[in-house]
Amino acid sequence: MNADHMPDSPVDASEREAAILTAHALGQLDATDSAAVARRLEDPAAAADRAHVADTHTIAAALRAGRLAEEPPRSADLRRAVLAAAAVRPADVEPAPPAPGRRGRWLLAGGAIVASLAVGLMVVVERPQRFRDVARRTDATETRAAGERVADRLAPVGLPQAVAEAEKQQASGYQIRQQPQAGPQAAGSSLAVAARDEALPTEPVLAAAAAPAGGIVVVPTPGAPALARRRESEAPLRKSDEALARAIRGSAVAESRRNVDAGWIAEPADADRFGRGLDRERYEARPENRFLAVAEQPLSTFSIDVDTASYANVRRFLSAGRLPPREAVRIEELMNYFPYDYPQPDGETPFAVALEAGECPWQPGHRLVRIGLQGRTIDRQERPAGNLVFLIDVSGSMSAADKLPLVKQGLSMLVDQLTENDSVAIVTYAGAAGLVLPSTSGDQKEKIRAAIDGLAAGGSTHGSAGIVLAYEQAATHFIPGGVNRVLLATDGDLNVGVTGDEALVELVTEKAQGGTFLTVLGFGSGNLQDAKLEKIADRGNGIYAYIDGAREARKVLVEQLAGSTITIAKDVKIQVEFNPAQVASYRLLGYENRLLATRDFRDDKKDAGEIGAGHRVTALYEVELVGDAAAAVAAGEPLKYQRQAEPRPEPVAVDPAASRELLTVKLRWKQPAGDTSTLLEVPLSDRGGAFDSASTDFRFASAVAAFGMILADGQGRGDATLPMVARIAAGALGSDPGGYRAEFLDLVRRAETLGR
Amino acid sequence: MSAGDDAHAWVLEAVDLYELPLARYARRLLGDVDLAADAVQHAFMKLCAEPRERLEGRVAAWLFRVCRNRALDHLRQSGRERLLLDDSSAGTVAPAAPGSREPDPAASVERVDLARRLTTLLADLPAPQRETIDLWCEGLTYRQIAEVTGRQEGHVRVLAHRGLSTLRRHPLVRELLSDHASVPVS
Repeated sequence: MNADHMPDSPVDASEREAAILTAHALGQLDATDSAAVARRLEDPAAAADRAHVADTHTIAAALRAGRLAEEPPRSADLRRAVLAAAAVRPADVEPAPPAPGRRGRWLLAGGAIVASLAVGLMVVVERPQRFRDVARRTDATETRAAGERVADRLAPVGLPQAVAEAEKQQASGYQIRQQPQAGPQAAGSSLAVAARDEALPTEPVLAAAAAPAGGIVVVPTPGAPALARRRESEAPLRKSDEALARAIRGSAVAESRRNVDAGWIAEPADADRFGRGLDRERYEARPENRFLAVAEQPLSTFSIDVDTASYANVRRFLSAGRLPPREAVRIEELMNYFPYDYPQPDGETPFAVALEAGECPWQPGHRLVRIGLQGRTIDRQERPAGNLVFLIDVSGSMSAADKLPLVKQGLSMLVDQLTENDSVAIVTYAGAAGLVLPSTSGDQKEKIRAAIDGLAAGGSTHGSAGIVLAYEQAATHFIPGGVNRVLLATDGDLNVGVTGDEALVELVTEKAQGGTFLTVLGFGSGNLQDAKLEKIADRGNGIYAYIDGAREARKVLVEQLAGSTITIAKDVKIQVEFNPAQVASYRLLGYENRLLATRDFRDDKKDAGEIGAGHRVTALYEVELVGDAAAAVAAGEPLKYQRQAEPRPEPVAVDPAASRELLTVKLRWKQPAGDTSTLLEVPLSDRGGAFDSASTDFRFASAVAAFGMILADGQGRGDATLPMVARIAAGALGSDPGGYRAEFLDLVRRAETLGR
Repeated sequence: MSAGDDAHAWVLEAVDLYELPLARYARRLLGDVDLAADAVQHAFMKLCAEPRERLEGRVAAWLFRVCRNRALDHLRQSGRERLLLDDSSAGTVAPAAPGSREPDPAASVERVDLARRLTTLLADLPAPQRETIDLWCEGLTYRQIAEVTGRQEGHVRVLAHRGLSTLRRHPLVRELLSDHASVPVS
């Protein structure tokens, strides 16, 4: 026996022999050796050896049988994480049914695709027997998706007549006397136009990538009796998981062509992806906004986005010495991460518009137009009372240092900002579920802190209706005219007690209509469901922020407390009308998943982004000027745009005074409690300044955009290089309160060491 | 299908095949369901980032190894490393008493009972023996077990043998085996 305890205890010949018998009993000998042992065992004198083999076999088989009988529940988290890592983009299916109420702004065709398939998958998850139908549908839709792609390529130049008419009707400001001929340039753009036109609004449903096993997640319960129960419920689960996996595998071809901002690979290969050959399909799949001809498409419409999660995520990757996956890079979120010194609004409008035009640093001859919105800043002391309910994921996976401990740290910082007018409640889910802190006045800081300190991850009790409980807390302490908000902190586990993502979205949407908004705070790595969290926040009229450290926690929960909790305008839509006399074509940088159809601009039923107190929104357009007009714009300057000059009928604006304008920015927005939108129009004329003469903010934003295009491997990045980004950013740090821009510069340099 | 899609399907297949074995194995190593789930997830996340060609034919061993390393890190952090590596802590299986029984082919084996007792006894074996048997139970070959645990295949063979022999000599097991067709242990 003693020898058994010593790992290196000597093995004598007889034990070596016996070990071979054991190996034989365990089926670990190759055919030759096995046959030799079998022959030896036939010897009548080998009874003891036979007993050895027989007993060992019996014991081992019993052990294995016992082992296999205990089936731990398959983890929904795991499947979701793998699916997210594979960036699932299911195939196109029929458009989702019209929305009964509010509509989301997940308007890319891809969004619709994912949405509809997700519905199918949810059905599968709940009713495995329907899988066949879904599989058939997937096949059919794959074919269709492929067909549409061909159609895209073969589409005749221009838009469908009806749409073109509608566009013209709306293009009131700059009427064109004569339709210009569609040159090769315009033809190229029209493909993009056609593609964009597919991006009709649809009811957003959560990405299939994020579809959890919903109500049939089996939760381990200690004790033997649970085993039987577990196995019972296990069967449909595994079946459906299989169905899910197969359905998704089946749609793999089509999904690779589609870009939805799906999740990123949580732990990407260390290999430098710049060094790898591009996967053509995937490359094409990314619907980076392309240049659109003004003559074809004078209006560009999109919903604002104040999210910044992508930047924090990119930072996490770069800090860890890795390049982020392309899909993780959202240019608008990168730009919006930084403070810019835009003028504060005066008068009734809750935000001010700051427009600027300047040289495009990565494309000689092109101009950049910056649209900046500045939400009215509300002094923390003056901010309306807050009724905040924190809904915190305390599942085992939250125990990592960058998750729950960071949540607690952030909450503690937030508590310092609260006053007796505010109330805070804490609800947990996914672990020890329940009401940790009933709604408590903000001045009872000790009590709140004690509750925060008591938060612990772990346990595997099924989270009872966590989110319902949170909304209940919010409802019982609802402050009319105040800030009523549920703040969900999670690493991606959305098993909040509502079965199915659809039900969750429905609940969140309904509560948002009732005045209680949802903010989603994403934590940690490895499991984060980026796209899904963002979507849920959107439906809840909320913000999605990714918190990767104490600094970010402070930024989001303290510095932006007012902003992330007080909505000052909702359904903010931007429509830019380009003057064809000045602009030949244009391209919106980022906001790919925020594009709206032209007609949605006036449709007050169309949901769009919210803007909070103190929030800033920045968008950049890259524009190509009309050659003939370039001389006039750049009065006194040498002609820059000769190359672009083409013989075309010169458009003339109806209002001669407007003919020198580059574009007009139109904004529609609603009061937080309002139902009808207000229109604001701001024109911009380009004085033709050089890049260096542009404002610090303009130059910095362009550096961030260029950085995003490089990381996302965008086709439109032109001459942009990391050294160029670093140079521009270094010269545009400004006063840099908070040091965010210096940190950006640091990240660019990190990326340089990882890049080529 | 592009390479990316293949890889994606391949990982899902691996999840289908190995999630449960890994989860059971990790739970035994760590003694905690949640930590085990983390280790398992970690292994699959790593797999997502791995070129398929590189792992052709050795996915199972690779997954178990990554999962094991993760578990080891965990144990190391919490100062429980010896749970996995230390030999001397265990071995509390009571010494076997010589027993003699009649073979009784007609007796039905209470397999469930045997499995339960064996599982309890297994937990008392020295960690390397226990782990070797655990991995075999999950379907790994000696060669794969050697790859996972970083041991020589011959060493794995001896560890499995010693562990199973200890179990076989235990009085309780002898008693249960006596209900089964067997001949007395020499």
